[in-house]
Amino acid sequence: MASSYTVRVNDHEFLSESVMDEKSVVYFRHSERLSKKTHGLSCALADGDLEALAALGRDTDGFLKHELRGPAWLALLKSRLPFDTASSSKNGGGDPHRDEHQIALDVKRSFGDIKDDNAKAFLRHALERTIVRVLRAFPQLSYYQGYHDVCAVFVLVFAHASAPGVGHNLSASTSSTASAEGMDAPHDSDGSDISESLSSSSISTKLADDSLLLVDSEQLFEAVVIFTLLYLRDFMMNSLTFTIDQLALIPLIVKQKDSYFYRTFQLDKIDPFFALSSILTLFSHDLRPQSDDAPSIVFQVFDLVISANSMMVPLVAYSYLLLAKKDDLLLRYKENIDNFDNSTDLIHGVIQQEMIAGSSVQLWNDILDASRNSSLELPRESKKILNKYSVLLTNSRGPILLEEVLTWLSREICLNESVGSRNARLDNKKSPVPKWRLLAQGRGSILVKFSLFIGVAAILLKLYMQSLEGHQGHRRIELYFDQIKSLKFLGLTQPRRVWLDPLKTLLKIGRT
Amino acid sequence: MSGVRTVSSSSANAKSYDSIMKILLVGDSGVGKSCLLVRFVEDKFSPSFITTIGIDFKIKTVDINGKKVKLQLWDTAGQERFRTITTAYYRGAMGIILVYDVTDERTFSNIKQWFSTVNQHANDEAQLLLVGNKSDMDTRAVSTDQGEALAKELGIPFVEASAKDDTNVNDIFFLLAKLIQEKIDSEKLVGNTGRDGSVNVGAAGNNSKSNCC
Repeated sequence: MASSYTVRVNDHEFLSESVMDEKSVVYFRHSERLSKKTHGLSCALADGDLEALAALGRDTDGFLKHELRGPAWLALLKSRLPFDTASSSKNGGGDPHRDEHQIALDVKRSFGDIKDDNAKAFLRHALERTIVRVLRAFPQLSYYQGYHDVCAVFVLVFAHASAPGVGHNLSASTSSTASAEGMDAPHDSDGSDISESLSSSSISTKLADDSLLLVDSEQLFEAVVIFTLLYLRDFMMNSLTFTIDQLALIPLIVKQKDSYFYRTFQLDKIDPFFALSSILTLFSHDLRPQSDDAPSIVFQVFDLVISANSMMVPLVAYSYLLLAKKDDLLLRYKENIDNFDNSTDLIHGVIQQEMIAGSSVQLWNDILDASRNSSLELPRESKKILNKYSVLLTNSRGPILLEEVLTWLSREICLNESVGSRNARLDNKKSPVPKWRLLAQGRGSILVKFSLFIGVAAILLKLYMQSLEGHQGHRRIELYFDQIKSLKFLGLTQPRRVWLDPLKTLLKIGRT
Repeated sequence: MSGVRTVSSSSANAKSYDSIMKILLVGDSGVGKSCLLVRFVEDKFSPSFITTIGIDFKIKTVDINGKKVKLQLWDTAGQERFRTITTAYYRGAMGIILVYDVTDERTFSNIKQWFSTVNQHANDEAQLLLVGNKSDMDTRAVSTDQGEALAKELGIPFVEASAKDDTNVNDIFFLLAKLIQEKIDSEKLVGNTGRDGSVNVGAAGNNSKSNCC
């Protein structure tokens, strides 16, 4: 298969020089590639070939369209974290979640660009229902503004419209949607007709043009729950601490690629809060209102996260976006250097005016391609910055059990709370330079290590003198001295362990 | 006044304005901070605005007493968890607008909390302003008198406005800009002349306590 495809592509290239003009060849190749990919995706879905599915999702254009995207997301997500919906209460049972007031406020402001009022009300209803259900099922998660943007992407993927007159056949593949209008209509602030069949998992509404819009709410819920537990845990603590840790990787990725830009654009000095909404929402907040093409970009970001099983995707994509725009950013930076109160304001202002709004679809496609080809490896310093239960560190290839994820979650919450109380204490003393920045700048503990070295050396010397007199532990100290000598030549960048071990040895010597 | 940037002739944008003011909007989620801002900057209102996540930034140049003033407007997210981030942007703010929703008692009673957060993180000289938004609504829960009383208690000016029907929205920003300009002018008279005409970047955060230079 693969070889015949290559041959045909070559044919086209040959044709382009003779019969067809360049544009039509590009179009032809593109449409053929799409139909080829559609076929590949359908086959992979039918065969349950998850590896092929993930490879196609990671490839250009992602999962192409929602009919394929929904099932593909669900298949991949379920393979990573088997989740039994039946075990979680069905209609958002459980006690109301503490954040439901905020959820209502944000849902009201979602889908603002959907023109059909019925459709808008329907999508909002599906969104609120899903978010509330997830949070009631896992009340330990905290809601954040932006989570609704993420969930809105899922609602759109799992919503299907059937053309007027086509009937309700679309639902056949998902569930038996015996439209029970008015029977079990959920409360809806806009008072529109939203039907919910009693037995099935679908909800639907009739649009102005008589077509039917429906969402399989079980599938939607399942996909959102798994995605949330696998990829959004860091954001759903009761503070932004671990989110800020994730943001800190952006300057590190940029530094690896272009240290000049990193320094000139002050990324070594300021907190990268400017990337907050992009990362928290996987770009679904910033890209939405820009253009008609923007939505497809957002879905492809999600395709890539799910296919690559990595929340490095948004961080890498953001870093690449910064790098792609670096000339414009530096120009605006220089122009505005006198116009802002401080560097944080300056960089934020410049980025906000230049980056998201000023990025074309073509640029975004390039960014996505670069992210697809990226290894998505964490920067070297990441482990010192992230907590060890972070979604960036706990991804594994095989399926993860729900219990396992929930254990990580509860440990992460504990850590977050202990960090929170520590920060509260520090707050009174005015915030110090964050540890990640010290690490990023390669500064910090050198002085500490040096003092330690002097101290240990002094103790050693003293013990050495004593042992010369007493002839006790002589051998061990000699061995240890060799270790110290080799360290000295290696420099002082040894892991901390090396410094602790000799002390232990010394303590033992002291006791003998 | 600290944080004032009088534009030097070498600046690339020198011709388009005479000075810059940094203004911040704070208040609970859903009170209409972004709506007020969009009404003022773009003269638009949509009943379904998107939420603000973190910090948003907009610019509008206005004319105050014959001088072109460039307003840097910083919109903040209302949800509690964003406060650690948004307070990082209080530095150097010359005006801070505290917004509540006249139809939502809770947002009004939280103003005192916002007031103390502002006092904790902003410059002492920052000009504050209390705004009760959504004055067009029938479902009012906070009276104008209550708003005025609170403003008096806090010692700051007060405006009721509606982003929806465009009542007093421009007034909010012009009033604030004028008050800031007055502060600047009076400080100049009081012998802060050393800084006249010079560009002052990044000094705002440091000299709120020690007002030497």
